[in-house]
Amino acid sequence: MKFCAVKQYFDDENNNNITSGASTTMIPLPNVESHPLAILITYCKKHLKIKANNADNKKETEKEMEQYEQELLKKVMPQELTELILAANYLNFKEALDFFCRAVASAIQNKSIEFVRKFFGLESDFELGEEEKLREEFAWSFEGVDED
Amino acid sequence: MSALRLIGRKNNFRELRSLGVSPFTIELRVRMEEESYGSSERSSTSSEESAPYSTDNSSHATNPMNSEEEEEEEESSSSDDYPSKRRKHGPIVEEEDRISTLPDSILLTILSSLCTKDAVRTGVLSKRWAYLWTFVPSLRFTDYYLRHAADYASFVDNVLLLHRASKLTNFSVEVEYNPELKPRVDLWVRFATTAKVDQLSLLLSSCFYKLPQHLYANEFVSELDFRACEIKPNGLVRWSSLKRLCLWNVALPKDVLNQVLLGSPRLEFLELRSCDKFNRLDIVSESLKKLVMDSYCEDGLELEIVAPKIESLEIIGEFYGMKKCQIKNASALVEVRLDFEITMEYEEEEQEEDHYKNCENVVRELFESLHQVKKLIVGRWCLKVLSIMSVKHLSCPVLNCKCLTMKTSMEKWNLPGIASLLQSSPYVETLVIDIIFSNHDSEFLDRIYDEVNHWKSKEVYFKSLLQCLKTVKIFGFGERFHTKDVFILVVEFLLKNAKVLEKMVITEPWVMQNGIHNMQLKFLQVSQKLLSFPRSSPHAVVMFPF
Repeated sequence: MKFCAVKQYFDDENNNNITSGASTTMIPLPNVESHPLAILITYCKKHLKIKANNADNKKETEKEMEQYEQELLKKVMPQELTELILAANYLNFKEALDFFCRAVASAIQNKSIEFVRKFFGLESDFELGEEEKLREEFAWSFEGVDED
Repeated sequence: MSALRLIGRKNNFRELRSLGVSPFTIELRVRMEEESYGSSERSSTSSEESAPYSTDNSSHATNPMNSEEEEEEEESSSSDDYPSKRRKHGPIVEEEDRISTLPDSILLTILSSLCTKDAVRTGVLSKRWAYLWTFVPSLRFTDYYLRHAADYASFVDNVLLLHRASKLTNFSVEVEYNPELKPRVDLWVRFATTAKVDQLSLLLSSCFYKLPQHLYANEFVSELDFRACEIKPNGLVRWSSLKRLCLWNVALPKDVLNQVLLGSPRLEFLELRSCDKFNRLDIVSESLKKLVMDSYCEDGLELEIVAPKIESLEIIGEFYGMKKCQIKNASALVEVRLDFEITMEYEEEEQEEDHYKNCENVVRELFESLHQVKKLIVGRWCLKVLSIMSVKHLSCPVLNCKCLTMKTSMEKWNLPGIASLLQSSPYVETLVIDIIFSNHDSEFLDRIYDEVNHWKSKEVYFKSLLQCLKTVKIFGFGERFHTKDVFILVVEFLLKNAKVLEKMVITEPWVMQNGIHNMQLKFLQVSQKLLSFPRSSPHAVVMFPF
């Protein structure tokens, strides 16, 4: 079940006996931006389509899904990944959430701290000397890192 | 199927249209299936819905869609149970902090996909991140940057000291082992088991590590991967939750595997890769669903599998002098992959003859016990043995398989084997031909057979075959151009005789993508020729998807 938040909305509606004479139902999602939402919808549709095509062959499904995911990653800016994660989390879309988290992880794998800071737009809020102390404490994890 | 309108904030119609999504009617197929998503998830989402929407009011004013949305809002608010979630209030500036709005649990998911060394480094990012990594439930010490065993072991010790998650889902160590490290590795294993780890991987090399005795009685672990470890339980093995076991280069002297299987009543997947020290292997398990047997380098293996629930079997790699391979009671077996090779050293021709006789017996017995399997993958070497059998006029046992995959180099000595296999599979509906590279010698075959006409002479027996064949898929043709004569012969044959053929797909012409012009031309000529062959099935379509 994808988009569990939306499903929840439906269940609530049914419980309140709201009969919709109109053929469209509007579900406001104030915490999701349009751009990531559209990407998530495409992802979901593709996922369902691939699953239907390869009904009995789980390996084929995984392979095709991986290929699609690789292509998708090329089109998405790394900075957008965090928005996508937020959207997927809000919509309770587990598969997309896992996928985008993995994508972020592989983007920052073995990169220097400066790179990761830039990637996330984070600023250090350490006081003077605190960061130095931490770096010293964990000096053993800083060896062999990629330069930017 | 109901049409929904999902309205995100900051509607940007241009963006949506460029993605091919109509902003007005976004149809979703909502599957009303019951799934167990806990109530905590529910409260988190509804709390997000009710969060005061103070940001971005400016863009709302300009957008007609959003004003409708504000009228429709009727959220029920509930308490925010996410204590660590923080929302930034205030105008969203370009280029700034993208990550701090994510809750801790998501950050931990991201950190879990990193190897532990990278995760530890994130401690320097900011105050919030300083000790976040200590809660990651997954510890992976598997990168190659730390070369010296001594440093590596200290690194692991340091991380374990600071680690604070009470439950581990994954603990993986890949290290070059020497006997001096034993007490430390024992402690790491103890740490992992105390944290009720689900998946434990000890991938060692160069020396063998004797597993600590306390590990043999563990009710939490569901996946174990051992490489270069020594399994020698003093008493009973009790792995009551174990579902997957992978042993690579592990010594399994007499009865050890039996003890393991007896002590793992829930075991579903077993992989034995280059294990040794057993001459005869009886794999007896009531629960086993998939078995992968990969290579065995000692002489004369006799393998017998008794697993009534087994669904998938793979026998791959090299087996030196294997004598027997049998599966008893394979009624649940659905999928089998036979991509193995029996190797042997010999000097005289007579020894070579004996070797091949042995191979023929093994292959024939194997096929006999697999006659009801639905999906069969036959590797290059098995096909070669079938070719030899065919030339000696020994037939292949009849198979009921519906989906048959052949790995062949499309050299002419493959033909009798292909013919023989097709002849024995009258019910096959999908045929997949995987053309692979092979520099394997075919001297033996060249000596006893060298007529392509052998294939043509057998055609008379093919009248009643290929009755069910509907789909043919051929991979990897473009790279092996010198084999095109055999390939054309096979395709011609299939088109001529498959009476209910619906679709033949010839894919991955590497030559087309890499644009070597005269190769492309040759390929096109071959394609033309293939398309011109007579087809006995009126609906058959030949496709070259590229």
